Amino acid sequence: MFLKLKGLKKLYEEEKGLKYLDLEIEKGSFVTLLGPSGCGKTTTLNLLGGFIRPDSGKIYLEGDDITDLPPERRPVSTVFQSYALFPHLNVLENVCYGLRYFRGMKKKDAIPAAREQLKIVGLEGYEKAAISEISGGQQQRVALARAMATGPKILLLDEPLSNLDAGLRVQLREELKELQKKLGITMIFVTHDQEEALSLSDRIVVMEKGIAVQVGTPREVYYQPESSYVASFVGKANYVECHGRQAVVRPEDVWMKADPAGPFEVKSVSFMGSHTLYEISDGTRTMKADLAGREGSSFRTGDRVQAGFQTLSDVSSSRDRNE
Amino acid sequence: MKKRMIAAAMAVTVLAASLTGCQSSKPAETTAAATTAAATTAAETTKAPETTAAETTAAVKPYEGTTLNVMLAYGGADAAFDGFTEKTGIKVEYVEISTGKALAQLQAENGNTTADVWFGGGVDSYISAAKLGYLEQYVSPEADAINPAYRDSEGYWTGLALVPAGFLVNNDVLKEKNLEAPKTWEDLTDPKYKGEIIMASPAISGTQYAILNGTIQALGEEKGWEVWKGINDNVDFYAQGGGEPGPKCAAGEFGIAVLAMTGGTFAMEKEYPVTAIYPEDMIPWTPAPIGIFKSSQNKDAAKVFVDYFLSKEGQEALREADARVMARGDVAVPEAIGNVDTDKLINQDVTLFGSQREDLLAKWAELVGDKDSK
Amino acid sequence: MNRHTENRRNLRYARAEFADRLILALVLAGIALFILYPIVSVVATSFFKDGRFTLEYYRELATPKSLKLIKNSLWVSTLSSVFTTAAAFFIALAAFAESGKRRSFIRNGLLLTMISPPFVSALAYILLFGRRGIITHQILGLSVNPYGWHGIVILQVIGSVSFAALMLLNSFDNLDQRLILASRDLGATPAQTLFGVILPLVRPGLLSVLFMLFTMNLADFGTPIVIGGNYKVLATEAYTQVISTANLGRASAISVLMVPAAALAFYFYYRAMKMNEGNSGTGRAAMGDVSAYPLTGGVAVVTRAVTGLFFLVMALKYGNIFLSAFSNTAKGCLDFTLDYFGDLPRSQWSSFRHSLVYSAIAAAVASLLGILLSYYTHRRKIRGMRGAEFLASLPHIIPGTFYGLGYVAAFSHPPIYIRGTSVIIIANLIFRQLSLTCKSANAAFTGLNRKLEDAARDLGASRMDILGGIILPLLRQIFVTGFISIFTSCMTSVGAIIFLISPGKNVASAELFQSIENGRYGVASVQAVFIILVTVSINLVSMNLLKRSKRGGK
Repeated sequence: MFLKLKGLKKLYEEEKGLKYLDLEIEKGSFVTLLGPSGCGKTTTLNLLGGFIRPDSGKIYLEGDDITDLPPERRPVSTVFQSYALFPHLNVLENVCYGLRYFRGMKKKDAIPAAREQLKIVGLEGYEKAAISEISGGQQQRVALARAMATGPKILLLDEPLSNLDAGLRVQLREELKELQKKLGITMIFVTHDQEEALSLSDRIVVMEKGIAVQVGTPREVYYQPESSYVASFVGKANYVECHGRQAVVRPEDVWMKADPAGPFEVKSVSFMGSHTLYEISDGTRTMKADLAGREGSSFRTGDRVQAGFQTLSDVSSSRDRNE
Repeated sequence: MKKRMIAAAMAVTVLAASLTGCQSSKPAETTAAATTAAATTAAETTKAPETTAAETTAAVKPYEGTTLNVMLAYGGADAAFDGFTEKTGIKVEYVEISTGKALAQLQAENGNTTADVWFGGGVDSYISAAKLGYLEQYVSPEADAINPAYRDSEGYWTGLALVPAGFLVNNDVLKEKNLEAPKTWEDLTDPKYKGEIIMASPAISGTQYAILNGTIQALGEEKGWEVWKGINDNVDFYAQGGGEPGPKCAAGEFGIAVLAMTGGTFAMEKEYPVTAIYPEDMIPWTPAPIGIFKSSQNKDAAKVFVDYFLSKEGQEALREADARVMARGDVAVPEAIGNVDTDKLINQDVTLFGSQREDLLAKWAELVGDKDSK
Repeated sequence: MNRHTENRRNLRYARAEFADRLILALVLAGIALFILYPIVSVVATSFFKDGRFTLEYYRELATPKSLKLIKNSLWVSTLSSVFTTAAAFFIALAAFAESGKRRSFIRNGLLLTMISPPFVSALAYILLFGRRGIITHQILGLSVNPYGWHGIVILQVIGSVSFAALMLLNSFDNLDQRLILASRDLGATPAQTLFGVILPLVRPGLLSVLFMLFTMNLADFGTPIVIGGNYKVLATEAYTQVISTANLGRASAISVLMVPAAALAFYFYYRAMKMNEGNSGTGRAAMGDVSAYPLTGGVAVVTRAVTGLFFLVMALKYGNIFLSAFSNTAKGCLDFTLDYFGDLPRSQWSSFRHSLVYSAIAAAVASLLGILLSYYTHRRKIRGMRGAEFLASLPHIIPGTFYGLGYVAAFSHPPIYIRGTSVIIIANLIFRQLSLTCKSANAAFTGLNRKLEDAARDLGASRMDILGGIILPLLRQIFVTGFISIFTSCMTSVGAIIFLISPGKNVASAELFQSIENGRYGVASVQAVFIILVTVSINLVSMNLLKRSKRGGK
């Protein structure tokens, strides 16, 4: 196995941090740590980066124990949340930094290599710009180029897209995915944004209160959530009684038909363009529905409707931690 | 942690070695190597009549290039140092420091000073320093020309000059308050002068201490303290240095200052509405001494220095630099310090300045209470 | 990566790790050698008499008189620091809130008036407000007594208000200006914004300035000695004990009395620092030079009145010093004269040269050391460094004369014999001022993103690469402002070094002190003018270098 985390533990005061983590990651894969703030995902990343030492547990990279290796010796690079670009150095100097120190290159060798990296992230011509002069998206690319320039075996990304506006976020997401495919580099990505996680990852690690509650492909996590916590954190979820057991219904798996005598009433409508979100109620239970296209956008508040749904495979209530 | 401690200890040693290494670059050895013969020649030449003295020493400058370090408490004396350097080739570096501070420093460093000569200031500090073993005994061949009352019988110090004490009055203030100038020490006890008198603390100012000790020697214990009690009633607070009363009086802050009567005091008459007055009953005085430190590495050159400033030539140069009553009887009293009636100078035993100091100041502290810090 | 580069890298890390330890060891050794050792040496004199342990000196102190001294000291220091902080708050507010020319005038004015040669402002005060002062007597026809605790308080306030305002201005400038905009947006009046938002936000800065002033005033012996009259405080008592009776033991015991109060102040400073850590505002409203808090209403009146008064007082003070240098002012009329220049001591120029060289070296080294100390204490959080930091702040707390005598006692005999050298003076200047940059570096570190160091390590930088390539360049501003303020106080400081100067190693400020002691006030004024001019020019040059290097860095 390429990267193996074994029984990692790092607890802070007030029970925050990482309680226990076993994880195996394949070479060249894109793995996302997903969870709300305080779930331990950033702690995991810091442990991987070597910025903190675990209370117990080991980290193996290609079979070598790297648990006690300091960050400056780990073949692991990080793209920090707010990028942590050096404000007193220009774009090129920032990218050169790791080339010179981590790779031990001479300045004259480092400069062309850094230019190459900047070209990859599409920042040619910005070499001499000061960090304060470029936009957030450009800063993000510099941070990426800087981290990749060291030729890391693993690239860690700590919410790298969270400081960007929506359009840019989607665009950079695509670029990141493409880059990862092209370079075949192993990336571990931390986010609290489920959409980012689903669209980017080969595998998702859903975390809650210092524990990995589910590990799987985006489809597995979405369609076979192992707990209602996972179900509601990854995508939206309705909970219904079905054969005496609780089942999860994704809003897009709800269908509606106009019927003046129907049992449900439309309570609210949010038009999203490509799809429309509804809240419907039959007096005892409320459900969310998500209908696609022009046709699906025709219901109005107060309309009475017929509705039906398809459940996901059962969510075993024994593993529920949220209730 | 342990490793860190060891590293720290090592660093301390290295640092210490490098620091001690950089301070021994004085030409001390050359001086020490100079023969005693040379020293005696130097002494003899300075003793010779001035006309030939200049020529001979110009020819023989055995200490040329030596630097003497001087602790100076003799305002303006630095102007006379150049003449000495020209004559002997000995350079003079000095630092002005009041004798009280100097004595504290000497005690803190246990007499291990880098200075060679102590020049001027309060004789009581010299007496203390001699007692503590910080001073070298040296009787200059020039000392014969100096009144024994002005020098230490054991040769630890020799008077360069006398500093008489008196009053400075601000004529404007007195006129405004309808007061006449005091004429005697007892006049100062008159309640009409309440709040108008400024003087230094005798615990700090050597001159003021000499005034206290001298007047008590002259008036006797009982009468003396009675006068000082009266004066104390008129004083608001005591200045923390001998230099303060003069300018405070000149600025009109106070009508009367008790102070040392030097050329500088009389010079104020030209600038400010003040008059310097010698008391009519008696004039306290203190010798401004010179002495050599025991720890000096340049004792022979220091002796040349002492000899020079006790010689007629040196005394005249010094008088030129700052007008005072010089210690040598054959050097005339300068005009710049007014008409000092030398008969009125208190006939005192200067050695008592040292032996009585502690008791006297303790009594003083009791007398003045909060007004003075001692 | 090939084996060769790998080996080279590992060697580099090992070397950097060693250098890191070595620097830390040197910083600690410096503190141990030049702070702890001299202080212990002089404190020891209060416990030993004739080689035997004794509490005699402390028993002697257990008198009502000592109690009164303590009371006096606390009273004066408290009043001075509270008034100074209050005035400095409004002046800093003016410097923060005004815009355009006024803003830069106030800021430059503060920098210039920070240079305050000792004692001469007391002379100016007596000349203007004394019993026959130009203002009190000749203009108003009063005869007031300037001597006493009120004189001390007034002069301490005047002497330290510029420094305090500059320190506070830092806190103001680091405010998140959007909070002020939000407060205005939500309908708060200027006064409500001031007391409800600005004051709580600068409170940590305010408190640390207050405590710093308190310790400085507690240790100040120069002001009370000139203007206190018969009002005595601990610092003057310790000084006069030394110079009158050479009773080091008792003087040292008196100084020890001051330590608890100073330690308490240090503790409060720490608490204030901790509060600060939470709200290091980096957000600035993008408003260019326009103030987020324009002065209006009652706040404007008070702020401008205090600031106006400040500049009036400063004009009087410096005008007076300059006039006294060129004229005989004591008669109340101006007789122009250049006599005082001729009366300058013979060693004046070499003393000036020494002052310049010593102060420049001391300022550079102390700024660097202060930053390093702060780095190891607060950034690296190495255990035990807090203790070192407290030790480093001691010389600023205890009276300067006492610290100076500690040097005399410690370094006049082997193993470290450096009496009479320049080294002892420079070392004293360095370690007396160390805590100044350490404190401003502490503040700067709270605003510096920790991730930057993580990023550098992640990119393979060694400890030395980070220190030299990231930390120091980013703290350049702290270094330069530290350099300026330490240089300024070295040029004007008197307390500690009056016992360390020796023939041929004199400094200008000590010569100025001697002139005052000898009553040569005109000469003292000339010396003060020179000190001011020299210090101003060096400070201006340093500031311009900083500006230029900033521009060049872009």
